[in-house]
Amino acid sequence: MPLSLVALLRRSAKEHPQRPAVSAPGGRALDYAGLERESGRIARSLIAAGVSRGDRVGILIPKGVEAVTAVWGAMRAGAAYVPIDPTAPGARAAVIAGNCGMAALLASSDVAGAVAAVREAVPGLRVFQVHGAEPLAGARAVEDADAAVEPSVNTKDLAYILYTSGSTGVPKGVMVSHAAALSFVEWAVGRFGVSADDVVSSHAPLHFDLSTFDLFAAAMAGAKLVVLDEETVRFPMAAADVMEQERISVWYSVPGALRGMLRGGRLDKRDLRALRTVLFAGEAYPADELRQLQSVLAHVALFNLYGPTETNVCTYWPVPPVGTWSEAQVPIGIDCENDQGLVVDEELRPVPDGTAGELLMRGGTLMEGYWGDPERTKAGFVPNALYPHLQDRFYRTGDLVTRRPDGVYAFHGRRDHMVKVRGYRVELGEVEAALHRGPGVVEAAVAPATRAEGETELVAFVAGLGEDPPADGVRALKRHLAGLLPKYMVPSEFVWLRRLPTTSTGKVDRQALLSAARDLTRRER
Amino acid sequence: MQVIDAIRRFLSQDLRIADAQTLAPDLPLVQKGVIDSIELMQVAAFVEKEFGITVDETEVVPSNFRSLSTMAAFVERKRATT
Repeated sequence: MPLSLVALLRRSAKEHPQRPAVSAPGGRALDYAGLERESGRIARSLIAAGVSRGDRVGILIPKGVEAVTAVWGAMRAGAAYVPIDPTAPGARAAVIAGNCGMAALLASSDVAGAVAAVREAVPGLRVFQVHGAEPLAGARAVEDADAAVEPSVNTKDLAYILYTSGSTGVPKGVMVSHAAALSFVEWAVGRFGVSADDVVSSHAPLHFDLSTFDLFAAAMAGAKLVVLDEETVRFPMAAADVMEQERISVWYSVPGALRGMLRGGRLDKRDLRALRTVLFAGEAYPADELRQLQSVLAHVALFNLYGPTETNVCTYWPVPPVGTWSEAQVPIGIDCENDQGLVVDEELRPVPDGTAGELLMRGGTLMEGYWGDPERTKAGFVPNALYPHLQDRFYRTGDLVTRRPDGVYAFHGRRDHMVKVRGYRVELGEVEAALHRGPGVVEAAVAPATRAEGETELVAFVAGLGEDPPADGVRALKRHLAGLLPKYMVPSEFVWLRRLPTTSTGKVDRQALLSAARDLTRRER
Repeated sequence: MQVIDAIRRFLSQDLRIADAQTLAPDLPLVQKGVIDSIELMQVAAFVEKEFGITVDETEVVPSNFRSLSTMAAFVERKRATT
């Protein structure tokens, strides 16, 4: 077993230096020798600037060849990379950089505003410009620092920290070691048979854990990675063009992207003979729509993958041939071979097959914990009561499932206030905390609602001092939120109330808000 | 300008995009995350209805819908040919 993700790149660069490693349609391309060379320059520049093993290095670059190169550069410097959403507000980027104590930032002049916000939040931050046509004020250039020596990186070191929505209002950083990432990547490359002949899509943004399959499975196999930028992924027609023209053989995205491409990307009229495997994860694929996709992609093996960022992918469901399955909801499948699930009741006692309970997960892919938050880390895990002789633990997924006798899990929802919007995790508490800081807001709550097209949206219920919203209140609130939260976390509907409904115990009546949200989104806008 | 103003109004009033009235005509709206893929389809449906044109799915591509100014040029082109 290799000692780190870095070893995967080294091996592919040695075994097939001239094979294509990463490319952006219509843009740059690097072969494996080139990817090793350019990421090495970044690594040595970081080291020469004082970055050392165990440091955190941020990536704030639009999706593309440079962003992927920067990921490798940061890891080769011995650092954990911390990808930041380049479309999110600067305020959120600054919170993440401050939270993880970022030592250096690999940046693009295309997002100069967010870079400035990060720099303000972290005094002494070393900023390197690795992308962008304009000069980035105050940034250093990547230089040949040949004297710098790359540190060894081993399995226990952190590979990356991915920030997800946090219920208390602050995003939480999921720490993933090289060992955990390798466990997942080796499983995935073996299970899906990724080889040097494959062309792997990079559809998900780098701060979303789906991207780790794309980057690292491709590098391990010596396959070609095709990077779709932020604009391309939002245009179904453009994304489908890439799938066809780049002859993608292994595609991985959220279901929403595939559904969009089926509806608006003319998948049925394309030459997709190169495509052999389609993976999707992040949210439920509506079963009837998955059957439609299957009838268009009859020659393709489809897999539903499941797993919170904290466990990485831990279950998978190979979609049976079209016409041979009748589930009304797409199952999340069976345990990955390197993980083990356990369904328990509220007292953490195992429940029999067929009984709903919370899914616990143990195995090689689990996170180390949340950055700088030992309490939350402790609360996220439970000791392994099945094998008390092991220093081992289960992660509490918070997801409610039922295990069938054949080992397949059916997914039922959450046991807390987390929802998925466009495949992204959203803690309602984080949105509510941001709302509370808004102009004129005294009380605030957020409820999810499902639109007719099956998309989840957020509805905000706000109470202020007066009976009526302040003039221009909703617009002001929306502007306030847009400055703090990524777009998918900003509610699409706002309801101004005198006060929020409460239950007999004085708590916010979430059931009442849920049904109000449902009524609201049922009406035409 | 009239097309851009109408789209700005739609973004502001219907999609409730913050500060939609002051969006620069050349700002890449989708790339910068100002509108997402679902809102993009809503914008396409809006220009169809508002300007009496038909927008084929193959026309909802970055070159036509990247920014307010490309959208306006697209609408003008469609109006001239129908």
